[in-house]
Amino acid sequence: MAEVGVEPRNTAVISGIGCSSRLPYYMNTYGMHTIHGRAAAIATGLKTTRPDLMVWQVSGDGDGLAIGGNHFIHAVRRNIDINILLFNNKIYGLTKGQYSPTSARGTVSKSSPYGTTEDPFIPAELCFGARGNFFARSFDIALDTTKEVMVAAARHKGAAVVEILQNCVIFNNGIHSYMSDKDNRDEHTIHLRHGEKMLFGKDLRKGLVQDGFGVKAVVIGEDGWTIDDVLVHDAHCANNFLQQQLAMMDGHDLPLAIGVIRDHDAPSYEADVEAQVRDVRAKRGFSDLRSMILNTHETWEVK
Amino acid sequence: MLENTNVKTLDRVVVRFAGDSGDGMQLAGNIFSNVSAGEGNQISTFPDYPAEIRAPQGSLSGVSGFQVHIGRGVHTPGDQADVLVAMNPAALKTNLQFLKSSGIIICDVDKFQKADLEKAQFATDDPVKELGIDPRRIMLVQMTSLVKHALADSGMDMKSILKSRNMFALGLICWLFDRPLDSVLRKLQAKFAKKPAVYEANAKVIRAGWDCGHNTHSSMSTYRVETESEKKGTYTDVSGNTATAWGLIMASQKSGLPLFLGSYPITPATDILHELAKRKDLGVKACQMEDEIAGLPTKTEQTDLLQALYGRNGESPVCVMAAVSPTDCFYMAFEACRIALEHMTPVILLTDAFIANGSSAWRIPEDDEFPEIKPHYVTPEQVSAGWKPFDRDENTLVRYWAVPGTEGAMHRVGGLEKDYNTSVISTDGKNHQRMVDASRAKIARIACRHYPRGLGRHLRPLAHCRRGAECHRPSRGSCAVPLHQPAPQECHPDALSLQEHHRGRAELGHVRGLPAAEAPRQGDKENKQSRRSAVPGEGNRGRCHQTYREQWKVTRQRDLPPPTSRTNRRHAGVPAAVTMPSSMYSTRLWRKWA
Repeated sequence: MAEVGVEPRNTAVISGIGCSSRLPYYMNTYGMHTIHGRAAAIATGLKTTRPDLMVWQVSGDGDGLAIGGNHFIHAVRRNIDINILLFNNKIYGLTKGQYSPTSARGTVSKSSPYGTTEDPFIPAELCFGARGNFFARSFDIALDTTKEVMVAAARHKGAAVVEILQNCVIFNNGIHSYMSDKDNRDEHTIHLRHGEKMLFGKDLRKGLVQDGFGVKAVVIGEDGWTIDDVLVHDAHCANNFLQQQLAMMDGHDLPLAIGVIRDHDAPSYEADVEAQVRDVRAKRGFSDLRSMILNTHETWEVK
Repeated sequence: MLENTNVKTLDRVVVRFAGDSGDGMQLAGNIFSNVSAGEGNQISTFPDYPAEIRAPQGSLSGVSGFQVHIGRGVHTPGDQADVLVAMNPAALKTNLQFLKSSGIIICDVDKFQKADLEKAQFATDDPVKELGIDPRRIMLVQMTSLVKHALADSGMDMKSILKSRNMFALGLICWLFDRPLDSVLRKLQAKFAKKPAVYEANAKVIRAGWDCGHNTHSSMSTYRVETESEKKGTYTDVSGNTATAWGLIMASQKSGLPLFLGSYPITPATDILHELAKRKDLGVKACQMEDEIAGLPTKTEQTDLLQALYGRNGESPVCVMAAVSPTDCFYMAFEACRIALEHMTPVILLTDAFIANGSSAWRIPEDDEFPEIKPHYVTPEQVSAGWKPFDRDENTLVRYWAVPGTEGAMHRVGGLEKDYNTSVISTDGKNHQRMVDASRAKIARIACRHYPRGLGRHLRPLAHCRRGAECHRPSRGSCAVPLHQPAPQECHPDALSLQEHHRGRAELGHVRGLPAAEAPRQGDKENKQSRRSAVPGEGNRGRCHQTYREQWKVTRQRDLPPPTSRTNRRHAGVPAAVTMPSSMYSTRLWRKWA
């Protein structure tokens, strides 16, 4: 927040229900710990009436994508200028360990003792599907990257989704360790930065190159691949096709993308509402209720 | 009016226009009611739309109606009509039930052909006989032929000509009730200001309708409907939904706070969204959102009362209010905002389809008729003196409002219980008890606050009781008013029996937050001496009674022993179970109790 330059008193942090949603209590800002799944709705109302505030929404994979799935997609679609932190630990923690909408098929949990028989949401895909203009990703333990993507989200005008992969020590320990462990991180993740080559691996020896309609990972210097073949990340591009491909990489065949994956400028909802009110009032504004009624409705006098 | 016409005087009259959805019944009814209001009548209207969108023409499910109640002492759109205008057989069949047994029917006989009768599922070719209507009560008019004749040289196509049938009916009704033709035409001219040709055609048809009444039925009685002198001012016709929207705007003006509405369209409340969406010209932000709490049908019944009162976890009383008429929606919406802002609490305002879609004449208030709304903002002095978010005003128990942006007052609110003193999260049982008591007392104290002088007429103290009334009949919403009018036939037996011996009534604006009656006036002996009773008049199993009982000593009518004689009732305290000690009316106790 210091970096973005917004004072705590002009910041509001809105959460729903869940482990993630305790966050407002740790912030010295204005905060609302609201109702399950409705953080986006309340944040939308707040930002529409108070565009001067910087509004953060904190949700988990349950609050944000299960009960709050409807509000999540519409906040993204509407492109209201709120910053949505989506803490994804792929489990319901506050209810003590049931599978969530982001748990992989076959996940064994207390409510799925024989494994789940359903496919999960991939938050990035949902965000792109809802025509999102900002998507970034980080890990709970990657503090620098988390700060970097949060600053970018705060500066982005419009709905910004930041997925933070969280470890639940109690109920889903190690769920992201394949990517997040120190020993794995270089090989299994790629940190994307706008305008920079898509390089990863130890000593950045590997890169992403175009492969037909998709991308593939290559080792630079092997099989004739050179640094010039490696793609340069364009987060600002309006067309989200390649950004989505990058966001869908899961760390196995291709490295998991962290950093700002999409950051495209588009009109934000609350600014357009304000502008429309201004326009309408400039064309036919009324000073008060009475004058509006007298000018627009059929009236008669009783003497 | 006419020399040989017998003019009868009526206090009030109910006219019901019924036809196919496309017949323009609402426009005809609207003009009739507005003209009547201009003549000094009180008006109340109610549109009755079919549930189906565009049902087949002439079918029973495609009938739409518009009921107009004019006269003096008009509080509702009326239970049963004196006059039914039926534009086709389906309209006659479905709307006959809304006609008084002495009421008269005006039909377009041209629309009673074999095919029309079949569409309306008549078994015979004599609908009048089939429905058991006394032929003397029905006026068969060749509306379609006469409209065609009137517009024969207008150059209009047949479809457009037939669309004017509603204006013929309007002309006829205007003749019947002695409405001045020129003011009808003025309304019409205003309506079609941009389409002079349409106006001309419609005006011709209205005159034809009027002449038809004059020439062919001049031996019939026509009627003069009594007027009631209203408060001076500028009036408009307003529906409950529009009035609600405007009440919210007035509250926004009086509090200096911007108005925001997040809403999902749902009948019958959608028109509030529609109205506020238009009011960007007053700076309102009305946004259509993607979620709602649906499934609380309000057309057939107000099933939302218990949801509003108790639909929460644990003991968390919420202020609940109800409007009793379309125009009352304005004052109740304003009052709901005032309570919400000044007492820092959510307020639920209940209206219903009957009120929301009905309309009445409403005097547009002057700005200074309403008090400023003054929320309890936290002050910089309080902040520097160590203000805590859950600090409360000693008298009202209201918390102070630290609006985001206020320096030094950053805080968190939410569903977790907080400590009474420190405002940090607490799971201590004793503290929780204290907080529960505090929130209960806070809601109860809303009811004790003082109403600014002059507002009493609009902002009813919890229950308004007519002076000299023996008993209250508290009820809420649209059912509050019909109960004090002659009991409708289809009304619940409870209401009927109440009718006989309960003269008073209580319109409950404030359903919860109810020490529940006007404080006694000084020297008002009756109030002090008599024992008063409260019996909720309502249908179904009596949910209202449960509510009043929570706060008042009230029982259901059906639990009472049968009334014997008036004396007996009074002295034996019958309805005994519901008598309230007059001390309940004492201001002193009222406060203490709260």
